[in-house]
Amino acid sequence: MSAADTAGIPDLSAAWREWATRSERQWNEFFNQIMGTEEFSRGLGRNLDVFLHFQKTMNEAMGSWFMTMNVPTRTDILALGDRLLAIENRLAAVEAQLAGLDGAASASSAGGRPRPRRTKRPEPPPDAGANSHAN
Amino acid sequence: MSAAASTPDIAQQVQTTVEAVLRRGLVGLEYISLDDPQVGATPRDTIHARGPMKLYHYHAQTDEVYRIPLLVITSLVSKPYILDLTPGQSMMEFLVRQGYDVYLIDWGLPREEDRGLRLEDYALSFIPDCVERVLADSGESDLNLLGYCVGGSLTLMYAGTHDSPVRNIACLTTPVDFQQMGLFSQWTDQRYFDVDRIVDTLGNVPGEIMLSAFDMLRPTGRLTSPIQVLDRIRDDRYVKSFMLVDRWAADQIPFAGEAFRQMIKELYWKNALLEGTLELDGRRVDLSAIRVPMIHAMAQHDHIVPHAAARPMLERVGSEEKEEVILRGGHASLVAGGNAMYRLWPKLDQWLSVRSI
Repeated sequence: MSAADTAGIPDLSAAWREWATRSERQWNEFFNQIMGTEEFSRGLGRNLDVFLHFQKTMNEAMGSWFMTMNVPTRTDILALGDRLLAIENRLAAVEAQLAGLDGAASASSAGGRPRPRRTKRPEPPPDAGANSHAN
Repeated sequence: MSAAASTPDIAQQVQTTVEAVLRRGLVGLEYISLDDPQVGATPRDTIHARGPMKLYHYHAQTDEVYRIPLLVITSLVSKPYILDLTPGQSMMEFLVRQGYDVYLIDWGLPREEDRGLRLEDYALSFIPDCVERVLADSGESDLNLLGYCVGGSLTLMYAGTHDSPVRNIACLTTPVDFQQMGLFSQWTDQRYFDVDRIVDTLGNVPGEIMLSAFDMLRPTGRLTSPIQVLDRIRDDRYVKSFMLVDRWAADQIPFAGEAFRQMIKELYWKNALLEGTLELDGRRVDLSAIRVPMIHAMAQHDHIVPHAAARPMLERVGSEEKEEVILRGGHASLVAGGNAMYRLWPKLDQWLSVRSI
């Protein structure tokens, strides 16, 4: 079938695409309107409260159970994590001081690769075709 | 076709046609079935690590580079590979090939013990630390900054509190007016959103909660996205790009608890970054104190950081030389979409190149 033969036939795929895009926009606007209301924010807050209450109750119940079983609780593990973090931070501080003492040589990241010259100059800028507002 | 064509002939023709379509036309199907696509592949070294944070230095791919190094500061709410999506569609790869000496801060995944990280830690400790590392590594005395999304906000917090060696700042879709963040502002309404309880109970805010919030901004997205992909299944470039960006969007990371609490209370409730009342470790973040040349690129269809939230930035900074750019695309496609290489990247290169010597 030549192009001339198809000229009078509507492009169903384009029409469908347009319909799908328009529908998506309309549904999103519809839902966004609902979700933008104060009632929705209040409901979201309540749901979050219920979830957090459940989570807290679970944490406490599991904590007591672990304690009874003589197994470290999440809080115990977190406390250990905090102590490790403190050690990590101190190591980082020592490392920074050592790097400072050692100068740029120790900081170089080239890993044996030759460093390129830092002499590059810009080429004439192409037109990016954007809407720009310069001050 | 002759009227006498036999059934086996017709069957053969149908089979040949179907095979040809599958072979040539549906390349996009390959990308849909990709389980673990290659992301963040531009060669780099980790030159510094502290807690969850890593500082990368990308390998130079040119014989000579611009004198001033470029430090990229990524967002706290998503993984940084959106800026280095895949070979051929990577902003980092583009910048390196254009001759920039590129460094990038990857904030990493906050661990449970990182729940106490605050905005001060990011803006006044990690960033200055990385700035010093970059200067030491490059042997230069100044650098340029490029911040994406909340990474841009952190860039402003750093630059607004320091007499820093920063020569130029480029921000991409960076929020400053948090009361204009659309539904996010609405949902975090002080009367109903108990941020203390969230952080006290959960520690870090899980990635799943962040993902749900982003998904709710476009409620039909999960349904219509696959339809869009099927509609353009023959366009393998589009399908590949779409699948990678979609994967990134679903790959949410936790938000450090204390930083989240601060963000809600100081930025959303008090709008302190815009109002100039944000204090970090006793230092006021003063946007008007930023006087270096700035560019701010925003996306026309950004549903995450609306124009109204991003636009006031250049009005508030003290820079005399500043440029606002609005480009087609959304929040992610601005930096990583199939057309970013024709829109944002050349514009960024045009602006940065003359300021990197």
